[in-house]
Amino acid sequence: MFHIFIAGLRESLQCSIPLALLMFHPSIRRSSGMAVLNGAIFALLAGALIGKLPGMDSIMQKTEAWAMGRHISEAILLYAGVLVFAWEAGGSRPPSRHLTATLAFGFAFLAFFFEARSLWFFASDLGASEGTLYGYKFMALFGMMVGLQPLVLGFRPRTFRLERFLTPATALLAAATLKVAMGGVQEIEDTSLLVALSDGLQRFVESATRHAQGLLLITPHQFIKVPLGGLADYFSEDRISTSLLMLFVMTPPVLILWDVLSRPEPKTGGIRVAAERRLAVAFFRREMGFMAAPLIIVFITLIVMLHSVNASMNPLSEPTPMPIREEEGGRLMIHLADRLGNMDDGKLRKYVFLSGGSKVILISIMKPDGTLGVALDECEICNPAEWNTNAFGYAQKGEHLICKYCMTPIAISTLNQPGGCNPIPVPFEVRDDGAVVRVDDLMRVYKAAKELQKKGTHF
Amino acid sequence: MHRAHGIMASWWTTALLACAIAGLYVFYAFGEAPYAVWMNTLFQSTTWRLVYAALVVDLILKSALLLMSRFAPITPTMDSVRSMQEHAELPASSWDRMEGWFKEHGMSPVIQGDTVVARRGESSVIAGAVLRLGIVLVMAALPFSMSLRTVQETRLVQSGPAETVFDRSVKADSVEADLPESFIQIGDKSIFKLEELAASVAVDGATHEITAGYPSKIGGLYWRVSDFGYAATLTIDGKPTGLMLDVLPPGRQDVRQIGGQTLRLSLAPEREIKKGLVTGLAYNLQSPSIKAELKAADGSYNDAVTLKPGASILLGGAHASITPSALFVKVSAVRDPALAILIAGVWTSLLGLALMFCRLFWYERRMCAVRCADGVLLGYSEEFYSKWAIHKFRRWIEESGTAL
Repeated sequence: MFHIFIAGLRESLQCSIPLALLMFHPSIRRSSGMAVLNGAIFALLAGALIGKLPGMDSIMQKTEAWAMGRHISEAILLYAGVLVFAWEAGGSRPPSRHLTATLAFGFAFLAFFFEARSLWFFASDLGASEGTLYGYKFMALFGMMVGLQPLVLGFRPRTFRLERFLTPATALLAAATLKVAMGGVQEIEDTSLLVALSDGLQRFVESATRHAQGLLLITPHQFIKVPLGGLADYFSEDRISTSLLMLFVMTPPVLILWDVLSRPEPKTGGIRVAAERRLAVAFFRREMGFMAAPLIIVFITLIVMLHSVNASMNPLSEPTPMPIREEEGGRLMIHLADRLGNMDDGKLRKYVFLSGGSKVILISIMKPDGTLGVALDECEICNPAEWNTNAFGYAQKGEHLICKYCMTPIAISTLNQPGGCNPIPVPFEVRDDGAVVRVDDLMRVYKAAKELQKKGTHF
Repeated sequence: MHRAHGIMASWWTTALLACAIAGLYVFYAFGEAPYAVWMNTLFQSTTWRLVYAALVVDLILKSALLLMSRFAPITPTMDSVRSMQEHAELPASSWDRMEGWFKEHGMSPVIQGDTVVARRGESSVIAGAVLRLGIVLVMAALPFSMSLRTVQETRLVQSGPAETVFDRSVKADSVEADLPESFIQIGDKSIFKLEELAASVAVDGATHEITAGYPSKIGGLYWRVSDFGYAATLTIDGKPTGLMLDVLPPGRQDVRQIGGQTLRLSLAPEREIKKGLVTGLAYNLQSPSIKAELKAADGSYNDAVTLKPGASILLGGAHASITPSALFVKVSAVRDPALAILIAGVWTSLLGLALMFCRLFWYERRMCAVRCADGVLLGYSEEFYSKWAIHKFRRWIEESGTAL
């Protein structure tokens, strides 16, 4: 039962450490410190008790609704800093103490609520299976309450002046970025905000582009070129949604950073001594550096997050080639089960066969219809330069093989078929335990491919 | 009234309304077909129609207010000059040199009593106004276009019979398609794309050219070629059947019931090309041969036969032939009273966007001076890049030294 306590502690710390950044800012601590703490405690209790509310059972069953709530709340957290910044930049009156406290309460609530709800769900599930439901629930809640310590410690006055580094807007943005970067229970039950956002933007941009084409009576056609069709296709690709995602995520730090860096230097006309003038400017610039530092850290964190999202959404998987040796009778054996597991996992395998001075790389994969495909790891059309070794051959991306030179996706079901950018097929026989490739056949195809490459085979 | 004016003039109102509409999409984004559901809700629910209309009205008012405030005459006061991005207090003697100093720094001063005002780039507000105008036109036309648009389509065979569209007699006199005599296809996925497609169509007797590109406006309707294919007559045992074959791009199969039998038709390649290990199929798209497969009782398709234009061949024991093919076009006629506004809105938005890029260097600069009992108060503001504006103004003052 102790592990659920640890889980609760961890999830709570993941939320309270970012929020403690707010408490470290004296003006936020003074005006809204208690509101932040109350928001966190209320969120923990709400996460625990929400299932007991009438009508919530049916909503709790809908994973999409919870995912939507979580993502919207994270987006709000990210943009709360921008809201404060825009409020200040617009020259509006400072919000009332009550409004500030309410907003701080809401911020803390959103940061904690979904983690608490998810953890409570796991605690209930584990407790029911172990037969100690209340014990698990108590330990989960206890763990989360203990995890609030960074917030409680935030009330203690300190000599370190964090406001040199943080404006309220920066503090909110840093807290939100830290919270989103740390993740939470979502890491085992859900996708991240950025992945969901990228998918959503892709769907929206594609639908909106097609709708616009229809409205302007230039509906796309399968084989008739229509005006602006290329532009519409370009808009429908994932690079536009990725750009929009970048814009959405990077706007808060860039906006606030721009504001910090565009503050004018102090007036030094009245200072008679040149050294004092320089000192005043240097002091100002150092302070600006302090103010910019957390924003640059936020910026870098978001870049790393975006990169990891991009990598997770477009994984190009390429296994390291396994050595394969000639067996009796001049044959090579590709086993259905090897050290990487069974080939029915649908993952690409690569094998390297050394013959004389030649290094022949074979690929093999089980196609969706259950048959094997074996081919050279070479495209007949694409012939990368000698120095561009990374562009040789193929990698796997989901249901497709990708020619690494021209990035053309090739349906795995078409492996063994020649033509286009497909891998050059190699004759093989199927046996119960795998595929057998005759070395003579392999070398004949390999040499033919090399000859064609020398000639140039572009249509 | 003043409060309502303040609310409508505030960018917070615009942001709130836009966020509400975006939030509605997010609400549906986790379900099926979110875009279609979002559009339906936006234009069919009374509440959301009001939100949408409020955003349109807000954008119109905002543009009007911004234009009015930008082009309104400026009467500088001590307070207004002090509230500019940077100001300097100068001795009273500098007043006489003020006009020259303004001109020296690229500003054209207007002297009104004890005040001097100079502005540059005040018309930069037009860029945003044009963009908002474009967005307003698109937003205003969108619901009307979606609800009032009616579409009728018909297939017209080249030199074939007339059809009726929106009570008008329509006939294709000719069809011009840039079909290659030898189209080579490599791999499974067709890369066939037709560059030019136009039809000479007689609408109520008057001939017009309609293309697959931008629609042509004829008699209050928008006309466009939306599809095309081969029209052929398949004769089996002397019984002719007129067909409009949907077999493009090469590789597509068209399944038809003819004389109680199921036929699968597709384009037949003229020849196979091998170059090394790569195989390609060459199709004659100007005078295509048709591959025909007859469905057997067990559900499988028999061996394919190739029907060459004019030649006769045995198909399932019957004599079959296909006439030299003509082309047919599918013509769409659209009645949409809001389309012109929509297109105007798109062009205006694009123009506005282009102008917005100019805003990087096209922005308002304002310099004001007020003579008071103690001296002269001189202020300077720039619409963007306030830091550099302030530094520049300070430099100007320092460089002027005793000249002012």
